Amino acid sequence: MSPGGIFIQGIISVFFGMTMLYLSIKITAFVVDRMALKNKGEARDDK
Amino acid sequence: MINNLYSLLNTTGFVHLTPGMIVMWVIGLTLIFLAIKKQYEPLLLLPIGFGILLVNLPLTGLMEPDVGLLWKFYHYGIHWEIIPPLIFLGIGAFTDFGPMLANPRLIFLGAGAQAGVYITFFASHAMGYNIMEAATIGMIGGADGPTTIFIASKLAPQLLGACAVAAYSYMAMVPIIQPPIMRLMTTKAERQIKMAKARPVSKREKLLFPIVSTFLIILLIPASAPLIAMLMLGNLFRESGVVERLKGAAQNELMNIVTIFLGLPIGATMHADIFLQPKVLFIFVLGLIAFILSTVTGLLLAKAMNLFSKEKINPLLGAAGVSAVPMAARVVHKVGIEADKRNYLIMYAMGPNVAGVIGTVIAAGIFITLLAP
Repeated sequence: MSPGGIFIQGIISVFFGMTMLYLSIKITAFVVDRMALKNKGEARDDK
Repeated sequence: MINNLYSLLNTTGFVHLTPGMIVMWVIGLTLIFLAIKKQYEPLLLLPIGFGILLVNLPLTGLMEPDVGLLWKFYHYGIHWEIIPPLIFLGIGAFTDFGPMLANPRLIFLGAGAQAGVYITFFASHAMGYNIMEAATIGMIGGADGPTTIFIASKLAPQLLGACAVAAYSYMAMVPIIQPPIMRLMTTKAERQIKMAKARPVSKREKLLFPIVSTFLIILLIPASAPLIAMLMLGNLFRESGVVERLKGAAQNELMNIVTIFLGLPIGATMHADIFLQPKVLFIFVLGLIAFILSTVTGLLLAKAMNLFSKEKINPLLGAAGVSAVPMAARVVHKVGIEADKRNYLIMYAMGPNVAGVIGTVIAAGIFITLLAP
């Protein structure tokens, strides 16, 4: 692969990787929040 | 009698000394001086400096393949790619990803700073370095010593010593190199921007992060596996709260031991015959350019993000996208405080700073995927 190709592919790949990481953090935070809310609801129902 | 004396003299190192060796002693002693007197990355520069002295003493055979002591450290520790991943285990055990998880959009600043790596790669190749050497030189801009060593050992072992010393030297000089660039690239009003309060991060999120990110990053860039796997294992030790002994070992005993076995053989790769060539010495200039460009691209990306975002980012945070942890974050905080005494940026700056570590590993993984033989 040419240096220009590596340059472009490299930058795109780093941003793509970080975007995927960003999305995974957002999704994890969402799931964890939902689980926390659900647990809180169940605890209230038990009372 | 005279012949016997001559033979005896010939077995000593004195008659085999070269001017290049003496120049290397000066370089080694300078690194030792900087480590002790100025405290510039002393954990690495001290053993590197001593390694330089040792390998430039004649007839020692310390770097003789299969025989020399330092060659064995180098071969089994660095060439076999054992030590840099172990350093990452310790870094993972030290790192709190909480500030990054609290403000995930700052992750992109860790990616922005990698643009400097690729620009320098391109420039180095245009200046006559072969493509693997250019990739290794570009990685200096990531300001991540272990990753630079990892990629150098894979792509350009002949440049390992120069690239490692350049990377660690510039990491130590973050407080000198970055602030003028930060002031030049931002207005006072921009430096005074206050960040919105970050959301709290639950323990469960912190625990899930190393597992989720290991899957994600290794599936995306399999070549980054050795470094990411160890980084996230170390972090899992930290966040799980059930293996305090392992966490402590990764942070202290193991980290200290591998640091010794990293620094000494790196210094030992810097023999006068290899090191004192214009092509190798110019790496220090290119490394500095890489580091400056990484800072600039991080700052520019932060400014660009402000064009599209309701909640403004203090653009200084872009400079923390280089992965010199936590030095770059501290420098951002210091420059921020100069503009507004009540603007505490340190916790926000840790986000892009630790994201920069991941970004550098991804950049290295891409180089290895595309270039490794």
